[in-house]
Amino acid sequence: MLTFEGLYFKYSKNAPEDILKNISFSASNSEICAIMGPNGSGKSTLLKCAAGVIKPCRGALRYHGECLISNYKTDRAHLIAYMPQAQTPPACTVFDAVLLGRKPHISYSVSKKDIKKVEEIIHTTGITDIAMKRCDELSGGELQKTVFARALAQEPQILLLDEPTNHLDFKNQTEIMKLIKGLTKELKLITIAVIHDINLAIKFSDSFVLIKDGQIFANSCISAITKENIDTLYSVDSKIYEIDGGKIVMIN
Amino acid sequence: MGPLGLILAGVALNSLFGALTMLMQYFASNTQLTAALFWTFGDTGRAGYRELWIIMTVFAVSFIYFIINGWNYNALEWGDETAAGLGVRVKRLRMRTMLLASLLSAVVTAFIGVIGFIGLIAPHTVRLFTAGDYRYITVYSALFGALILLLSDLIARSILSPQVLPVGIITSFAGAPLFLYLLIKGNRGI
Repeated sequence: MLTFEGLYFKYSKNAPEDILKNISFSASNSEICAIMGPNGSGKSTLLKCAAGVIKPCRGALRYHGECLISNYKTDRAHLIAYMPQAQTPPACTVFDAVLLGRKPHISYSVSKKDIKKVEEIIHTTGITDIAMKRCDELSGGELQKTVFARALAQEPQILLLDEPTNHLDFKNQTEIMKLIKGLTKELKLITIAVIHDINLAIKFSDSFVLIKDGQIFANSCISAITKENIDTLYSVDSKIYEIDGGKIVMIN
Repeated sequence: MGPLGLILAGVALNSLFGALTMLMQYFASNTQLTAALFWTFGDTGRAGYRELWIIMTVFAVSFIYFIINGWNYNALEWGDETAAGLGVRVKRLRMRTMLLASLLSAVVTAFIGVIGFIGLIAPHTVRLFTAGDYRYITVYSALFGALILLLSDLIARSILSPQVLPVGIITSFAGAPLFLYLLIKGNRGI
């Protein structure tokens, strides 16, 4: 169980308004928690706070009761894998990119165990064919899978994914979400993902955190997805259909 | 700060320290002026054992630091956020690396003089063969850089024999076109 307790954040002390205001929610093991909200609402900032890339001004982040904010960075990298939104791939091979995920576990030389682990993960994520390709020559889908594989190589207990389906086509979107879902269940991970596609989020997530203007607007299971919530959140006029026991959100 | 900012900052600093050098030269005696001018023709013959020991010490310290941090540099290639997520203390690493790199080049330049382009050519050539892995780039570019310097010095000493040329002239002569070639042809990884 990962718990956010009254998290506040702003970039500089003199900034007039907090980017995150009183963020409190918790995410459970074996579940995907989708963070949704309009652009600039503070979703990515929230993930960065959780990943330790930036430090929140106030509030606490607890994993099984243990405070994570003041944690030493390498320790945190054992626990949390963070996949940022934008990727600028260097010229290394896919294999090396995944191997980089082992960094928190290796001091300098790579052990046989690390190599084996990387091979395993490359196999599970289905990127065996491109393992020797250069990262700056990959397609969007291949790159996203590579970066996800690197996050897995960290052997984390918490996965923080910032738009894992960004720039992906329909097939790749489903594929990567299935992969995330499967591994979250199998490895009992806590997965928190920023997802823009509402229907994709509904299909694959277990709980939802709706954020507007840096504040949590609604937070619960599928019951958070109501016409009223979606309309206020995105300032749109939407319609929700129930098909095969699932919800589908459409713009009216 | 992006690459463009870094280059512009370099231009600004270059002009500042150029002005300081000129100021010193303006008030220097004729002999001092000649010495200062000769210092700009980098020459390996200028350093004695005392200087070499100082250079060796600074080199050893910074080289060990660079090697230890090979993985951290690899992580940094993916951007600050990814690196921070992998447990790299980005600000501290960047600060210390820049400090050590500046110290090392300052010490060498102070004793030997200006020998241009080796620091550009060596790592960029090595990068073409090491797939951007900093665990190897650091070691191989040190070796390759030493090799280029040795070769250039050999040429400088023999090309107009018995006249000995300063090695800085050779490296700049050969380095500039070679660097342009690398830039145009092999922008893979540069």
